[in-house]
Amino acid sequence: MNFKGMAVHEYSIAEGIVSTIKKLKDANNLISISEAVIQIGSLAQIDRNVLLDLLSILSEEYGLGKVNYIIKYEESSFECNQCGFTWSWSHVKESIMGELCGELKDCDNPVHFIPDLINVFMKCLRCGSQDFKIVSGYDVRLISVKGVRND
Amino acid sequence: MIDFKDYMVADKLKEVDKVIIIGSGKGGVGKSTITSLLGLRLRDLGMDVGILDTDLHGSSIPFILGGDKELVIESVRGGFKPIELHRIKVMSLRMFVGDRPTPLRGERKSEILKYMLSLTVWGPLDYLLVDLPPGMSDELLTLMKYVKGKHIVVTLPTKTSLDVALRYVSFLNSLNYGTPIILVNNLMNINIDHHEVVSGFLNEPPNKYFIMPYIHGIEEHLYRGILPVESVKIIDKIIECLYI
Repeated sequence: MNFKGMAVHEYSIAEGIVSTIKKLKDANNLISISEAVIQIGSLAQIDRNVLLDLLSILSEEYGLGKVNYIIKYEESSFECNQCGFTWSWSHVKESIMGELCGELKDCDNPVHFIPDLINVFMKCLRCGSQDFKIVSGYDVRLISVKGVRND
Repeated sequence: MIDFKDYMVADKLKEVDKVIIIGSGKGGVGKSTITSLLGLRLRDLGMDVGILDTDLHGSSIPFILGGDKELVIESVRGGFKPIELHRIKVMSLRMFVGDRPTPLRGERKSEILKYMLSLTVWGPLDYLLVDLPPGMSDELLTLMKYVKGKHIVVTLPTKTSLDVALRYVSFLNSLNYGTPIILVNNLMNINIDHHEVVSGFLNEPPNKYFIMPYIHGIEEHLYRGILPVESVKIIDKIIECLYI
């Protein structure tokens, strides 16, 4: 595989998803996989198109053939456990990314690798607490897999 | 919902031969120091060693082993590459957060640990040493779901520390993980009457315990990646007891 222009972390995530689907296929005695639904939270900063390309390439490599990958993109939102204030990733993305990546628009950064680390790098916009929960758009999740059974 | 990270952990650990988990109920008893001593001794014996530092609030392994200057996460095919300190591979949250405080609730901690387990590309290892945080909370419970290994329980030679250590041992025994080794770490260089204090707690079979002597200048030794000679005998006995 040629890695030029493809983000390495996206590759790791795609490989994790495809290898999991392959294990599910084998464990459930499926002839083929027709569809897989994946949810991406904006916090994870995953490039949707790159992920889709990698999923297709890796599906062939893992012998899954053509799988219809449906990617649902969800805006990440947060709720402060201390004062109850809510906000979304789009409100803070520019400033957080500026802190993590400097002058670059984006970069490999800790939250991209491990979205749960957002509590280390972000504070409640109202009270400044780092004690908040992720209400929606958490990270990359495999929602469902459809296949044809061998019986 | 399928958590693909669950499936990735086994793939990442498939080239790891043996796992040793170093824990205790209490903080400040020298778990990371013992982990580092064990790592250096195994390295000196020609083994390929990795250390997973799971203390998410006070990760200290990179600091102990002299890697506190510039910690860079390198993204590689399959995940992240551990850093190498004195020929020991190390993965620690400190590589991601530096000196920042990590105010994390339980669910966040479990997920972070799952990411560390599912995305660390260790490669072939003879030994993976897992340095646990204090307590019997999220990190320990998450780890036990994914990683099986031999346990070392570290304690100070004090009644309060031994009391907590034995509760921890009781927890491990209830899960049928085999009898853990109890290592009494004389960190404080107190003139302990360990036969009175220690054996009073640990004389019930099948407890196996060793006493690590006070080692002057241990921090400097570990920072430079040098194993203090005073520790060799005890560390060798522990390795022998765990795996032979």
